[in-house]
Amino acid sequence: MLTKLRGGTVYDPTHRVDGAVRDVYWRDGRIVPPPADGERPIEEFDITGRIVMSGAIDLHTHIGGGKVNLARALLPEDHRAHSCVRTDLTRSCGGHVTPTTFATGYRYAEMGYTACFEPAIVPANARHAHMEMGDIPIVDKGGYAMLGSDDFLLRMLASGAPQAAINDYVAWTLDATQCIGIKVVNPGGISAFKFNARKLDLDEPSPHYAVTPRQILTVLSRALHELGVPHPLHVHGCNLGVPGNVETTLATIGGAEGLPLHLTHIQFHSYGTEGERKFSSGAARIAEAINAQPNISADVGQIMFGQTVTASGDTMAQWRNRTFAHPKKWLSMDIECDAGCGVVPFRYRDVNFVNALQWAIGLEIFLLVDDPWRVFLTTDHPNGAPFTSYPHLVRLLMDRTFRNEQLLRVHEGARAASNLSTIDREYSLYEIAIMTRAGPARILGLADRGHLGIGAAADVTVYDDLPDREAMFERPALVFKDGVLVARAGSIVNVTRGATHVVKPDYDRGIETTLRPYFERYRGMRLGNVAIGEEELIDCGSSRLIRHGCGARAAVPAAPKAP
Amino acid sequence: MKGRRSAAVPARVSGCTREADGSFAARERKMTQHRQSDVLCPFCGLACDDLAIASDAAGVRVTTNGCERSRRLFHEGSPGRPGQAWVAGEAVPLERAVDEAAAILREAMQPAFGGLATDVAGIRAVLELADRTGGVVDHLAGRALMRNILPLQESGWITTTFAEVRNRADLIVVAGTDIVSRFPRFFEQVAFGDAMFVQNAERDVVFIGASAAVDAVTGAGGRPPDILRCANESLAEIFGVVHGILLGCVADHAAIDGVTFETLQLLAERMRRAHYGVLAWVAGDLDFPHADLAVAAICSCIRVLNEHTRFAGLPIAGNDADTTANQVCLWQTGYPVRIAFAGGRVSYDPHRYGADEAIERGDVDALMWIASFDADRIPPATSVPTIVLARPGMHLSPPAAVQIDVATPGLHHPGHFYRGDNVVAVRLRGLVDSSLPSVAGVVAQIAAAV
Repeated sequence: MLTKLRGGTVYDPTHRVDGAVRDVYWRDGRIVPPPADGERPIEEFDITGRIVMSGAIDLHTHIGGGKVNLARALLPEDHRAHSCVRTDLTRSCGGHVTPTTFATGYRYAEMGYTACFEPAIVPANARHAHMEMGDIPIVDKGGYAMLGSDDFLLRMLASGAPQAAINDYVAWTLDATQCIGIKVVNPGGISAFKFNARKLDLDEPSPHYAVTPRQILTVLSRALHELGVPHPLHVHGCNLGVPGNVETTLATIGGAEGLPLHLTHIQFHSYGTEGERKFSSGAARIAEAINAQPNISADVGQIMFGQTVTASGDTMAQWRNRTFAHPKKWLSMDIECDAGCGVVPFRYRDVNFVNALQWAIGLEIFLLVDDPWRVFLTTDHPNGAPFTSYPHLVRLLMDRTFRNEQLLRVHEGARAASNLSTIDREYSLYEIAIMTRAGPARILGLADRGHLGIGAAADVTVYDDLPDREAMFERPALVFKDGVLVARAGSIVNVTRGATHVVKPDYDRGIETTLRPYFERYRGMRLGNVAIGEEELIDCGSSRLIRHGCGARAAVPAAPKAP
Repeated sequence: MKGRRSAAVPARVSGCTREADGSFAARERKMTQHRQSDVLCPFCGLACDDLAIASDAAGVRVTTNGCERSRRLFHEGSPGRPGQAWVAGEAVPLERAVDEAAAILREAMQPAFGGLATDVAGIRAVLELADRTGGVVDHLAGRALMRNILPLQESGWITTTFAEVRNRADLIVVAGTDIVSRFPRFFEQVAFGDAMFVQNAERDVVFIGASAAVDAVTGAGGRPPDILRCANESLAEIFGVVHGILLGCVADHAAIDGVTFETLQLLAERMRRAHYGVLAWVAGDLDFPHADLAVAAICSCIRVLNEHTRFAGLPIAGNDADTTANQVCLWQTGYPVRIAFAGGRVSYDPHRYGADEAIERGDVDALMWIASFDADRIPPATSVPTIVLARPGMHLSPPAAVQIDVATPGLHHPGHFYRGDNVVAVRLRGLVDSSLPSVAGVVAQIAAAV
């Protein structure tokens, strides 16, 4: 069936289309060229004066897996306060900071998002994550498997295993967990916490293994590079939230040895120790480092004021943060010699100096990083704020007057400690399209997403061109997923099932001869029962599996194919 | 892909063919013997995956590993016995039972969906049906689950999982249970397995409470456990005092049910000295009023201990898929079990929405009961019309309004099941060809007919 969007103003940065009036056509869920033979479309939408972009992609959002469910278990009040009535189309749902799976899919689709990536899949919990994400309707999903505090890798490093063997283990993990990338969280630190260490610096040998976080970062980033996995190592660095951690972050960037690294929720890792409160913005230095090193990308992890919950694999940091829990309850879990998870509810307050400066630091990073292809719009949902605050964040970036008005409302000391008011930059629609579509697709290696070229998936969002960008991005006029109209003016009109994006780098299955006895002896599981099969993924709830190509030891992440 | 399954036989669930007598017999089944290894057992929360089974015309036998419970429940699920459906005790074709079940739910103002002993697909189907019809949703272990969930929702907790216990725990304090009555291979598989960071001979086990079979438990390292006997009802007070000792604010206390203050001081000192201590309990065995307060006291002790060392709770569960039901409820509704769908919304009340309690109070006017793992898990006695989806062999007197034999996940068809440490979900295999319908399948049929 041929569908036509007539007369929209198109923003498609992958093809350098910056606000050109063009018709967009698709058939069977794929963008096609205008029909040559005068074929009349079956379905036509006149969107003259409206804005067209591909569906948005969130490359870092905690939407599935044990920690999210634990956060729900801990906070029934979030669901009591926010419930939605079922309709003939949609299920009963609710929640604000950890919405139910149904609400997650509906809200994302209503906002024009068509793919979401869960960044912290503990391998032991991967099956759970896929089942939970399988119940998130409409949007596509994908995940990053967490390595770096798992005893198998640490044993390899401690025993001097060659890089090739580590590559095989990394590739096996991607395969067995059906993930598209690898994340490291507080490298070695989650393991160190199990040995009762309460901090672990970048060059500090870990307890028991005497492996440093820097070593872990180096072997994992090299493994992904050598395997040709498009997404660079997704790094949640050491010392999250600790004043002065800007030095750690700069050292991490400096130690990348030219290999690609993606620094996630970098706002939480950009703190200095200046000023009488010993807490200051390191945003300018971080932005300068990113601008200088094209191998580095980052997502911001912007905080927003209000109640949320922090759910993280970084048990060491969450133990530190427990005293700030609001309401006063928190949980922590050590997981399967693999990783851990800590859940601490939190309320960011604009009258609090630290929180207000965190807010400003995030915005400073957005505005000081020159290249929108290497900085991504996230709140580290729900850790900085729920994903439903993205439209507000877009307005903060696009509207300097509005931003400065908001700045006037926050803690005076924080305002004085930030240079935010001196930054004139306003993001353009083109730049927003880069950081929420073209950029994430490129850095994840999704060749057929994030753009509107011929052959791309017909994931398309149509916005009213409203001066209030928050209202504009909150309720797009039309949202199409794989060519099907799923939301209209902020309401769901069709419920579909999304696919799962994965990569499958080649590797030597000989690694299983080491993994098998390890799992049997120490993990109490037979290896054959560990891996998630492709057919099983469908039972988990995915509509299908989409494999993305791995380059052969590419120097930089593969760029999207030209139309 | 790539032959990951070690099973010799591909998992398969055949459709039902109806015989003249209305039973749904298996399609032609090859009765040659099949042997399968690395089989996952779904009959307790340990989800052991090292079983070997043999299946032939005589039935399914566990040939390696397993326990008494797994041997019995794998065997009872043997092929050869065709499934059946009944309306008011009378054998009927499946379609007729489905129509009758749908009619009961259509007429009900507020049904209850209880038991919930099924796999992830089954829970998903039940929640979808409950969302449509309205009604209370609870698991047969709901009361026990709440003993953990109430303190979790009040204060949070610090917990761990089986592999961490196995590899790290140098002290395991067990409160109010022997563990093995419900989780037979716990000490063999979890507490005394091969470990990376601790020698089995270095591990200490301390039992506190009125647990049945503790004398039978000895450590694989040879050291017998220490046993502090007291009534389980005393556990809240005991751990309250231990908490006080750990905080340094209780200098003396009268003996509690025969356990002296000096004993508790020594216990607190041992817990402090542990490098990675574990405090394990089984909520189902803490069967006394306000047992959630005992769990809360245990969690408080663990929090304090972590100021100086590492210590974690292990609330063991998982039997009859209680953790499975809880997880799916949480992601689909935002709440654990004990929820109700009404007026198009879902609400949660750990006290009001217990299925048993709702039936006793007369709050519900129909009951759907699901027990696909164990035919002994019979529904509560009630006068409201009851729809039972159970494993073959459940005999109810008087008969239920509707009863349908259903397949067992992990035996008759593949499925997903949560281990009792609440983190690891496993892929159950279908081991034998069966004509029995799955819970998910029957519930979907009922939903289509409502």
